[in-house]
Amino acid sequence: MMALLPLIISSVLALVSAQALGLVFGLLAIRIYWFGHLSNLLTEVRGSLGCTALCFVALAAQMVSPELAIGLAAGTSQAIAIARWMTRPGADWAPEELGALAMGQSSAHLALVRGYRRGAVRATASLSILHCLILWILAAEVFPNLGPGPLAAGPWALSGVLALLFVGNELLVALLSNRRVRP
Amino acid sequence: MLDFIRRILWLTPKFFAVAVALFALYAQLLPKDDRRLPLFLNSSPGSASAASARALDLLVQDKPEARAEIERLGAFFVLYAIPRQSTLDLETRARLLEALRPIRERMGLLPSAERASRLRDETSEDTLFWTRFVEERSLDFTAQARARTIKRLLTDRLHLKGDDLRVLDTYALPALVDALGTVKSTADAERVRKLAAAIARLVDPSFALHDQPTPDEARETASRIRAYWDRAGPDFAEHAPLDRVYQSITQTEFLIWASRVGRWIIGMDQSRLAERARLDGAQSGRLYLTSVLSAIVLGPLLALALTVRALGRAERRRSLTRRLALVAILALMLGAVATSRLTPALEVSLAATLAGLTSAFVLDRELRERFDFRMTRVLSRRRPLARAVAVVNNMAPGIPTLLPLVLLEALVIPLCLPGQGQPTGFRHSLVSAFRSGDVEYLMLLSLSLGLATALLQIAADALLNVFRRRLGELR
Repeated sequence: MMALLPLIISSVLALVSAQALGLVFGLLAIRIYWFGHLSNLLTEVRGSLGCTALCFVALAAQMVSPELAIGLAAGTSQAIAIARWMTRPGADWAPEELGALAMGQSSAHLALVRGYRRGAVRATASLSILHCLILWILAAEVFPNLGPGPLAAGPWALSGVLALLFVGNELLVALLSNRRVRP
Repeated sequence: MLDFIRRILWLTPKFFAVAVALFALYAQLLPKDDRRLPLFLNSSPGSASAASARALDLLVQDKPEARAEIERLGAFFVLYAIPRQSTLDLETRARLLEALRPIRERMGLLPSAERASRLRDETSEDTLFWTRFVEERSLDFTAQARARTIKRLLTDRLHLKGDDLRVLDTYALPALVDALGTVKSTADAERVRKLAAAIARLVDPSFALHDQPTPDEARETASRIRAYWDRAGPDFAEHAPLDRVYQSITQTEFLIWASRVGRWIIGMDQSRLAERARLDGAQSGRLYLTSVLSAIVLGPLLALALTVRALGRAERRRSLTRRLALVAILALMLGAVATSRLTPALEVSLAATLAGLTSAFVLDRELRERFDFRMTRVLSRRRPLARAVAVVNNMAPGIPTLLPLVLLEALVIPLCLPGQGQPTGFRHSLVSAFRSGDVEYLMLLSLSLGLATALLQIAADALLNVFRRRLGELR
């Protein structure tokens, strides 16, 4: 079980950083004209670096712990994807949102809330767990000093932890966005 | 439209910037093998005179490696050192003449046995010979004369067998390497054979080709020679003061990599990466393409089926379906990672299912937010076809949004699958590239994926604009 602790820590970090950074990127892309172009560039860089996020892990691991490095690498990658989802055309504004806008509520705040509620945003954040897992597996092969990685814990323990992380993320988001839990 | 033209035009500068940043990152982080030059700017570019000065310095200090270095530099060293021999002490001058003897032999200018027997003092003869050589042959050591000599070698109408080229020694090397050119036909192969023979005599006998080489053999040899020259070339470069600026950029790791890639793209060189990419493609490429196609086609179809079904059923069943989908993703992911022996057919079907489910997971979540309780209630009373039309209309903008993101999500799958224990495939290549510091492979992989993402993103955004206009019209 101890073998899974680094995976759990980095996955939680990845989930948190993906959602926090993703919302910041998305909000900037919505509010600032030129950041929309930067967001496109970020998606291209994400594509370029996707398979080699290990490089960032190696770079960051020189300064911080491997858990943090892997969590941040996976989280940042998914945050860029979240920003893309947030800036794409969605459903019409709900009546209560239009009402809030008419009452002088900040449109940035509403955009943030709408982005937070989008299903694809949460699903993309959840997938950062898979990126964490593959980064740990590759990192264990490239940097032997990191140990055997999460695979050493056995398939059932790994399966349980991944399921808990997925569901935990859903519960957390539902709690934060004050919505009914539908995992 | 103008926006998309602008985005396409911006691709080149953007990719140049991304390539520079990636190269810096990889070169700094990965273990170094033969990377000795600065990455982007060489403040002291190499030259023949600088290399000769170093070799002369070694000789003055009587270092054992001096002779080998002088022999390697050949004619360039002669042209540098002979005018300066009067500044050396007698002992060093004797060592210098001794070190120059192999070069004279290589030029075919050693005195005949009869003349040698008549000589009383060999050192005086050497001194006289080299002084006269530099004075009298100075006109032969120009770029124009060198080009003419190589042209004569290639046509060889006078059947001189390259005797005049031998005298030029290493001075001919830069032009010999330049003349290798592209190899496509047997005539090109014959040209490379003649040039490679001359280069092999000066540098490394293994560069020599047998009589009547095939174009493939000649291209392989030309590629090896150019790869050697990328590193050794600066020691044989002559430059005017203005050339220094140019060479401070070209004599860098980044430009060496860029010129190698350029030669590979235009078909001048055979790349070792091409063979590796072929092997990887045979194993992981199939898995990757299956994953991408499945994420684009199977995922939306699955999301459509799930949502149409869920809209016609009770709320509780709907969430159960999704929960099952989630469990399936997890179980398959785990199966993919934990199972080490999979048949190729099972691998492909596993990749397709996993990519399809992942994509369906995202689209399904996206759709769930679009159907509020009012729409759900209305649609639950409609026929399945009407529900499907409503779902497709709502899902349509989601697919182009997903397109550029799918390239990376799909790559996770071939990286997860262990590949039947064979030493090929993306995962194996990626791990070994990181271990050995193979910047070229990582750059190739990164830039190909980045370019594919960029092009797909531009196409997807064009599609999204259509949907956006349509959504605008509906309002």
